[in-house]
Amino acid sequence: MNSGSGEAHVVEPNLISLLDLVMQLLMFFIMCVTFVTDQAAAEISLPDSQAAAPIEDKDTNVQIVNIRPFNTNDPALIAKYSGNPKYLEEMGKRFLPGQVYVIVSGQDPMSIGSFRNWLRDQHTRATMAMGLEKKAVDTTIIIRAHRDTDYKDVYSVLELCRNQGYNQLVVRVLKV
Amino acid sequence: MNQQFKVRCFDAKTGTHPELLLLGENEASVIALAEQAGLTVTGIEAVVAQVAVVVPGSTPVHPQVMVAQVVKAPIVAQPVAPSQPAKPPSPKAPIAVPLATPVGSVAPLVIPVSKSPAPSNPVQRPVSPATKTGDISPPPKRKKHGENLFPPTGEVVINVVPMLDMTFQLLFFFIITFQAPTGLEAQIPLVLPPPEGQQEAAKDKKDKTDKDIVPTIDSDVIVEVKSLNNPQYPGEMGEVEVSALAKEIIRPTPGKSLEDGRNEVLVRLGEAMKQMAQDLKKDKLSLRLKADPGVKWERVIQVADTCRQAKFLGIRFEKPGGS
Repeated sequence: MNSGSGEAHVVEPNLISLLDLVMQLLMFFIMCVTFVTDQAAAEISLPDSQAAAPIEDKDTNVQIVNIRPFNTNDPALIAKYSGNPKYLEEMGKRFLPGQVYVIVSGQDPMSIGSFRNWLRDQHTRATMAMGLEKKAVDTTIIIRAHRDTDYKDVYSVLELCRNQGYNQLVVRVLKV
Repeated sequence: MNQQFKVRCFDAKTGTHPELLLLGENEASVIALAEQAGLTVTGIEAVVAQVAVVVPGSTPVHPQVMVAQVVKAPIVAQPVAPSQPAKPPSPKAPIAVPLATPVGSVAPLVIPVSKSPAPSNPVQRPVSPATKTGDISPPPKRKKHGENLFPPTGEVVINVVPMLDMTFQLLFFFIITFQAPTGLEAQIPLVLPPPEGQQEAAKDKKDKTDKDIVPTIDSDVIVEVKSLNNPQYPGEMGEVEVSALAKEIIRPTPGKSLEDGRNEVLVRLGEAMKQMAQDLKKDKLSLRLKADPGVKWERVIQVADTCRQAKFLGIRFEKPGGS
């Protein structure tokens, strides 16, 4: 009926249903988003475990400590620093092959000796913030140790944390 | 008395050549009527058959019908069959506008018939056979598309397009920053042996809170992981020593491959721990896990996992043994 009538016919898609759908998706992603990107380092390959307990979310006051042996030829490290090979060289000057280093978020990789100093500073800051003379703080230390780390190195880090006043210790594993 | 005229005209707005039946006293009035509606009359001719269709209260849609409203006369645009005999014009009102083409050669109708509700008096409405079965009388409520889409009845129409834009922005932001929950990781709580000389001191002091007391596990069950001591396989575990009341050494059968031997040790360790769990008859089972310094963390966790599967949930990691 409208051929040649010159009347402008505006085609209006029904956007309401589309909007409904988009809102649904949006809600899903908002609910699922986790802004805390876990201070986990990607190059740590955790040991497998079947009987481990699920991670408790209530522990908000945590400090994740990643432990890993250093090796210049390690494919995981080469992959991680593929965009910045100079950095791997730099690390090679600081760490011996096979030496264990510690990664905590916001810090460069450090040796166990530097980690001790860093942890002492953390502990001092935490106790000062609480305004108490207490030695112990209620931060849970989460150890993420690479599966090839020697037991003595993991133990030395655990002991170091405990001696500093962090009594709640947990090790992370990969659930299989 | 009004007379019916067949008028052929040109609609400059639409570029069509509608053919209309109009009512008027004479031809001049009809032409004036058509011109009022913005139509250029190209031909006019009186029709002897008297006026027929009265459409009271119909909704005007097309200018042709608007004409009818202007004169307040029952005028309707209606198809004219080509076979309709042309009648000589009345002597009173001679043809003012000469016909451009003879009436007999008029093309089949292209008159846009109004979609107004069907007339209450449907009689005498000449319908050409072609349109008889067609949609000449559509349902009365049907609206022309594009018309009355936003009726001025105070209905509020929300423009959702900007909202949709913004929502898409948010959606893509969340999709990109989305990380699947890391449900793959789990944890093993553990304790360490108390610092030397602190165990009793901590318990004695009353001003210390629970946090200050180093948690510990005192268990007679000791699981010791020995290193394989093979330079070819650094960090591999060899035998596992379980000592509770009695000491049991689990070592792989000689001749087995590294992996098979390790699996065998773990299976036998699991059986031994389950047996011990039954013998001990305790609610909370715990053990002390000791390993040689060079054993890989993965093996230590495997042993700890085997013990946890046997309900030994409390694990105290001991200082690495000497080797």
